Amino acid sequence: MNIGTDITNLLASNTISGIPRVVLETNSYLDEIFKKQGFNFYGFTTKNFNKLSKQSELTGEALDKKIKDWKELDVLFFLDLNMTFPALELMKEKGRRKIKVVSMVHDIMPITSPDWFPEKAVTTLNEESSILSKTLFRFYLQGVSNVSDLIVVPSLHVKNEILSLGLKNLSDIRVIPLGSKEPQKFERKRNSTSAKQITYVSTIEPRKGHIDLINAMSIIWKKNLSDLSLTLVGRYGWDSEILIEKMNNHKEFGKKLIWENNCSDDKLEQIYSKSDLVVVPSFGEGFGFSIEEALARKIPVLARNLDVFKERSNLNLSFYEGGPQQLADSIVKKIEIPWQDNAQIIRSMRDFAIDLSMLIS
Amino acid sequence: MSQNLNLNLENTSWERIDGEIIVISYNTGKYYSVNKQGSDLLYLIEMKVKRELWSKILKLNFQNFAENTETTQKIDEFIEKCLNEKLLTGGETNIERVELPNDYTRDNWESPELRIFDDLTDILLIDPIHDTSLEGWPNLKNDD
Repeated sequence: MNIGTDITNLLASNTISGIPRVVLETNSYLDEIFKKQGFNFYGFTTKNFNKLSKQSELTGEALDKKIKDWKELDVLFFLDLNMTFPALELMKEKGRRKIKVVSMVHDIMPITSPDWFPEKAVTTLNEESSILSKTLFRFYLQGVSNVSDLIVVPSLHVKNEILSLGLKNLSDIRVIPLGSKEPQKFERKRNSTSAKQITYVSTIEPRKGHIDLINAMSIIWKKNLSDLSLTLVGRYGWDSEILIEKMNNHKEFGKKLIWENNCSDDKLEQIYSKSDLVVVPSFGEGFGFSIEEALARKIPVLARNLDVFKERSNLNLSFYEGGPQQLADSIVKKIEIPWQDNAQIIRSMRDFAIDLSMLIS
Repeated sequence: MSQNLNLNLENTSWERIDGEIIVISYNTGKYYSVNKQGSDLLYLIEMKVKRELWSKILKLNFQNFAENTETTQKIDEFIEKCLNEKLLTGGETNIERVELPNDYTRDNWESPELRIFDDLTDILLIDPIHDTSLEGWPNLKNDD
């Protein structure tokens, strides 16, 4: 059997974070799993990306060398958010032969919370050709739901949101939670000073709640409630100019407030190794795998009380609700609670890949 | 223009969310988006409501709906555009009363609009998160 994984975005991307990072890691595990099972595993693309620079290392050497036309494959995994999802071509191909399509929908926030995204998805064309982000995402989702045999979602929350849309033509939906990237050579380090480090790993965009976290930390610093520093790790996304200005002008910027906007995996591990608490103040996520990343490294986590976060249960994961003041209070309390050893196993991306591989049978 | 119409469901995918319809034609490869007012008209067609009763229903649901030449002309243009795209086909109309879907809050009437996207494969080229500039997708970053 020839199995393929969509690497279109990985070939086109200039950098890798968030969903592409999940895809890259999953691909490497699937490659290993399918090889053991005697299947052929290839990368495939849905578009010719000649116009964009290729960074083939992003796909992993093995898959990059094993690219096959998707029309030669029996099972297709679409794990990335690929807006060039070839619904029309797949529909035709399915009319000709047996082919299984498994698509991952990470979230549907461009539909449920369009304000969190740039209003217009396409602005370089003339006005008549412009497309709202919400409309474009609906094209994508409708195509995916029309032609996929299975839709995989990372949480019950996303499944419920899709079901609430009331789509007439909807594939079978399976919930397979993501997991943590497995720590490589990870070692917790004690800070040389008494100061403790708070970390938040996320792209900077409005829904991620950075503003609440910075305001909460400002309260803590101003009132001298605790000796804490804040490290933000993540690239700039969109619509966050005010936040960036606020951060740049903050009197603690570069001192107790650090922004790592171009962070390698090694550097991220270094930051995690010194972290005493990971805070996740996001207003919306399809999964939020930075929680697993922190727990896998024995770092306690304080997260906003979103339904999607509360699908997990872990002694070292606490929730808060409210704005900056409530977050500040929760941080001050949580930072004093040491890691509690327990037998709870943190789900990894390998676990995710194993569950995913079972869908082909 | 034919007064008796129905949605052409053959090899097309129709979904309505928040009052807006998206249609994918698997015959032509075109994608369509219909604004809320247009989607309500398509609902009346789908429900086989007689054309002469549309105005009465729309008046009940939209504050400023006026049954005048301009409004009728805009509705006719919309229907004609849908027919040209083969999104509508012939059908019977025999229903006199229907409730419009309760999936958005109706306020003022605006002209129905069908937007046609037949060039998506050319423009859907960019990863919306990782390759864009501060202006948003799909304004590419200038990495030179």
